[in-house]
Amino acid sequence: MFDVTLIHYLFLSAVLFCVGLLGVIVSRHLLRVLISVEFMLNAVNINFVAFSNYNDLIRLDGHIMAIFVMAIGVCELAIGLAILILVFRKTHSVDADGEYIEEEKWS
Amino acid sequence: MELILQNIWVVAILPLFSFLFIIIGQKGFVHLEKKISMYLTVGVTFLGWIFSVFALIYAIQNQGNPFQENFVWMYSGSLTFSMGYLIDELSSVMLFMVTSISLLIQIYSHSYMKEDPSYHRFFAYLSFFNFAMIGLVLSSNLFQTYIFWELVGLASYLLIGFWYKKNSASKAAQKAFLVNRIGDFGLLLGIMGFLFLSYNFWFYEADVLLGFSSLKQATEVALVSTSSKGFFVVAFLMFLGPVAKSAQFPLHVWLPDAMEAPTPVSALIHAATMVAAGVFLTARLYPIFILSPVLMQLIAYVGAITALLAACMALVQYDIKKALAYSTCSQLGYMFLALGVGAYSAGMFHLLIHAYVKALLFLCAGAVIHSLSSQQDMRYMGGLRKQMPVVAYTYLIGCLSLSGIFLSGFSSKEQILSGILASGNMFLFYIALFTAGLSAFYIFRTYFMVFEGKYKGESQVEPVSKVMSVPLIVLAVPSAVLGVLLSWCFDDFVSFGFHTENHFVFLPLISIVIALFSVWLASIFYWDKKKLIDTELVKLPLKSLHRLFVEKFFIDWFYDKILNKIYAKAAYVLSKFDRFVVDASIDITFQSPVAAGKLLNIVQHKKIGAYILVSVFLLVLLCGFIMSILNLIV
Amino acid sequence: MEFAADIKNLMMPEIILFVGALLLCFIGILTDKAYKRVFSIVVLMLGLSFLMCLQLDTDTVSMAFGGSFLISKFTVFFKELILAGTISTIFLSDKYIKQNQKSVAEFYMLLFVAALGGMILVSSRDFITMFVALETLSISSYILSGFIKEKNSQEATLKYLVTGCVASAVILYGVSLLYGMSGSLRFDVIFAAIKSASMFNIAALSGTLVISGLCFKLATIPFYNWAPDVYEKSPLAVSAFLSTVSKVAGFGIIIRLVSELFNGIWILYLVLGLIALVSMAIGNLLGLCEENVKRLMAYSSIAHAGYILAVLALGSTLSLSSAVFYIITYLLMNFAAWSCLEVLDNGDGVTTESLKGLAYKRPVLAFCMVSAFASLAGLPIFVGFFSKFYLFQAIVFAGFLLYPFLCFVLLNSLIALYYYFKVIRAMFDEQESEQTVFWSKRLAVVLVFSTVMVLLTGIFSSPVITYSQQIAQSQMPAVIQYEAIKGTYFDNPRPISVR
Repeated sequence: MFDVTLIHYLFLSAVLFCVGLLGVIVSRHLLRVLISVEFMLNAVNINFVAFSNYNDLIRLDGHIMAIFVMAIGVCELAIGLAILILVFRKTHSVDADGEYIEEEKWS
Repeated sequence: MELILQNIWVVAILPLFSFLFIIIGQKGFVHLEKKISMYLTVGVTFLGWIFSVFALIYAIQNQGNPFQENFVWMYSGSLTFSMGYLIDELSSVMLFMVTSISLLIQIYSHSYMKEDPSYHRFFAYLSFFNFAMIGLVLSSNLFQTYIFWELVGLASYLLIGFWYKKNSASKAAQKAFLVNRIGDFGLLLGIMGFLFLSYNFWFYEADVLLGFSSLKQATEVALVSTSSKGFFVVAFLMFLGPVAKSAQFPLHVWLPDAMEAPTPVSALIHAATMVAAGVFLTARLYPIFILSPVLMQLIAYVGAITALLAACMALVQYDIKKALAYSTCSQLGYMFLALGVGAYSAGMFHLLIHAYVKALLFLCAGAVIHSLSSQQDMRYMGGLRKQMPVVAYTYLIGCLSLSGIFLSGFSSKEQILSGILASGNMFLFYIALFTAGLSAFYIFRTYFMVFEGKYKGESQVEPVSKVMSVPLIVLAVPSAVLGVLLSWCFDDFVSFGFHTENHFVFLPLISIVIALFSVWLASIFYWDKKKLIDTELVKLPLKSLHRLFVEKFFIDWFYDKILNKIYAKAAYVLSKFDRFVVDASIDITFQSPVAAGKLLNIVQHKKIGAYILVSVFLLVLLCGFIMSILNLIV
Repeated sequence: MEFAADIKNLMMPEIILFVGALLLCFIGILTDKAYKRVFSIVVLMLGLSFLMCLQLDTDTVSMAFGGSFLISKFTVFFKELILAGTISTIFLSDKYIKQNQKSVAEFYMLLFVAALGGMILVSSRDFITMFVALETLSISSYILSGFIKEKNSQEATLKYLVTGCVASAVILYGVSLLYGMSGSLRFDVIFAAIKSASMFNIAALSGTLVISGLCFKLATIPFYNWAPDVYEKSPLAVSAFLSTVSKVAGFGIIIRLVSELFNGIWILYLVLGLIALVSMAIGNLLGLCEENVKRLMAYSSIAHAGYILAVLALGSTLSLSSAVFYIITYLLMNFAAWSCLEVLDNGDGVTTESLKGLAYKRPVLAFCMVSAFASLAGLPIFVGFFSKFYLFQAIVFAGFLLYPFLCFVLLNSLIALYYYFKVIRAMFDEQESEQTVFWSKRLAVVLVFSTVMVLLTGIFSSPVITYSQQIAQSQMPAVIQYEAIKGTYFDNPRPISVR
């Protein structure tokens, strides 16, 4: 049977983090940027929970931290979505490429 | 008492605030009521005067036990620069003198400057000068003294150039500033050199860096750490400061030109207080100077030469203010002469008396000039005693005192002469005696030309206002009696550990006789002469000498023509160097940061992804850097 | 009732801010036009909180919440700085509030919450508290920076938000590594673990991640490029807040992390130095060809954060004291500069072009502006000179090996002189341009106060430097004191039986 050890978790988390980072850099759609940010935060969560399971079974700090990170991640996402809606109302576009700046200048 | 002494810094700080208040509000809220700035300035100065009385009482009660307090101003490595105040005999006397004269002159200038459009600016500058001068007097260490020394110079510059639209005034201000720079730079170098020599002392033992109260021990340390020649150089550089500030030969050229300032300023700054600051600093640095006998000789000779030359030049001036300016130079030379031969208390005594007398004379001259609608040439005056008796009689008191006939000036001058005699240098003694005669002559020459005889001017003589005459009368009192009152106790109060005894009983008699003879001589030449005699009478036998005096011993000519030419050539060459080498290289080096900035700017104003990309790139670089270093270690 | 007593004694400033934020929230719901009353409530609350900070006993180090909230001289000092900055921001924002009288209470509430986050941030002692406080500060800053609902302000806010999220993810990644290494999120436990298990390498790496993530708050590299856009587009008071208060909070936590958690990991000092050098170079170079004064202030603030980090990288008491001095003076100078700009700002931003002839038209305002910018450039008689002087002095005393470093810093301040003087020179240009100037009394208060302080401390700086020396000395032996105080609840957890 394939044994899942700490190092697998860490590897998964690192890959997920990098995917999220890549997503933030290359995404054109603002919603995807925000989702990528969530990817990064969740990658970190995996790290925390894994470490907590392997290292800190008494106080479970990692689990608590993961919950905090989730809650705050949601807050950030909410703000991001609110701004997204504002941007969409102004420019009718949710492009992260900055095209809407030009659009607004002309309109 | 303790409370007042502890808060005496208020005296220095308040004028600064009144300066700021007036200068900020001069177009706004102060403008509405002219008297605000006068009341503010005068009130602050009056407060300072009251404080100074207490300081004086303290100094009299606790002789040899100065009061000082210091606080840290700046840390520079292991050195701690302090600011503070020191109240001893010297500073309390100076403080009293400065505040009292300043108070009277401020009251006087209210009337003098009434019609001037820049009335507020004038009072603001006077406040600023007060701040700087009181700070200088109270300062407890050499470093602080230097700061206020420069501020006093700045105040003087501003006030000389007060009517800056007049070309001659702005030129005179520049000249004063430049000449003073020579001295200030010397002083700075001297202070740095002295600090360098006595560094160990200040670092290990003293609590106040460059403090005056421990100057004596520091000097001993400095003397051990260098040869006597090196010590002389340092002390000489320090002495350059007083030379320039007190207008001593060869840096005296700025003082007569400084008479472009309004007359109250001439009375306050260029006769009574600021120019005396040089003498004051020399007295402060006496523990240093006295250990270099060559320098003491130099001080004495510089003083003697200045006294003689300036007195000679005063003989031929027609401008009343210039005549008084040369007289100031000459009297300051007297003080340096006294300090140089070791008559410390006599020099300081003369400083005190002379401040009152010269302030009085200048204010009288100002009153005359004011009522003759800015006429300064004495050839167009005369017989003014009948129109303005108060001015004439107070002026006469000043003249008598200055020439040393029985009044205040008599006792101080006599002390100086006996001090010189005690030092045994007969050459200097004869110069001093001769100069005493000359000073009686030139001062009575101005008196006779202005107040006696017949009026030769054309303009209407306006009466002198009461606000103007009150300060004159008040100033006449110390000019007349202060010397007599203090002559028996002053050298106990302000002294440098030793006394000069009068060994020559007939000295007072001789000096009075000489002075009276000079007055008689002056009356022959100048009393009630309709024609301008001295151009003819004096010129014929002493033509070349007269020329020499009028041309100011060719010192100005020398500076102007010779030094300026050399300097201009050098400056031209250097400017070319600056243009084609320094500027060009800077231009080239400047292009690269701008180009780099433009390159970096490409990333700004771009989309989010690019921003994050740059950040991640930098982050990866940082982590890579860490990794590589860790690998190096492992 | 240890818990309640802790809160009563140690957390009063934060509690007051929290209550104030709630109150403002309610006021915001109930009414929309009450800005005069709201202002007095706001100032009263902040002043009360400041007073509470002053009365805290800081001679001994004490903790609340079982050791995750630290009260020491250092943290209380930073709290006072944050509160003072917030009060100034509120005075500064008066013009903005007057011109758009909508959602005033919310604006103030967000400022309160941001200040609260900053205050908890500087006194946090474990990573959960730190993270939550950091995000409280960040999230309210995001909303504040997008407070103008027009123009391109959303774009800037979005950049700010995304950069901030990435930065906090980076911090969290570093924290997770530290957690995995030590099994705890507490600073002192991690410190002990690093020391005992000698996991130097991993600590250095994760420390780099945490510190570079926190650099987002300071707007230094790697997360610097949001600053110009956000400073330009957001309301000016918010820009002032971001460039002062949130930076102060960031410095507070970085200094504490470096001196308490990563104490002894010398590589991190190297990292700090590197960050400092690159960000001051970038800030100054970008400033060279910038015409918009608000963006210029952003670049200047990047460079200044670089200077402070440069001196922090030396890690001695002397350098820490000069850094603290620099932070205080930076606050003063920046408020002077921002309040001048706020007076001049008429909605289109301030450029060097629009400043022309200001010195002849409005000499007093121009004087304030000159003193602020000359102080930022580090010229004598202004306080900036002394802050640079002590900074250089700290570098000089660190040893002759750092002289190249010193030269680099000197070169940078030389380059910076150019763009500060570009602003000053524009004011003395003969051609005059149209300026509409808006004064309000409260704006004038902060302008005059900060200018006077810039001048006053510039002439007489020794009380401030003495104070910052005390602060630095109280922080330096922090680690040693920690080892003495043990026995709080979380330090000795009851054993739970685990299967």
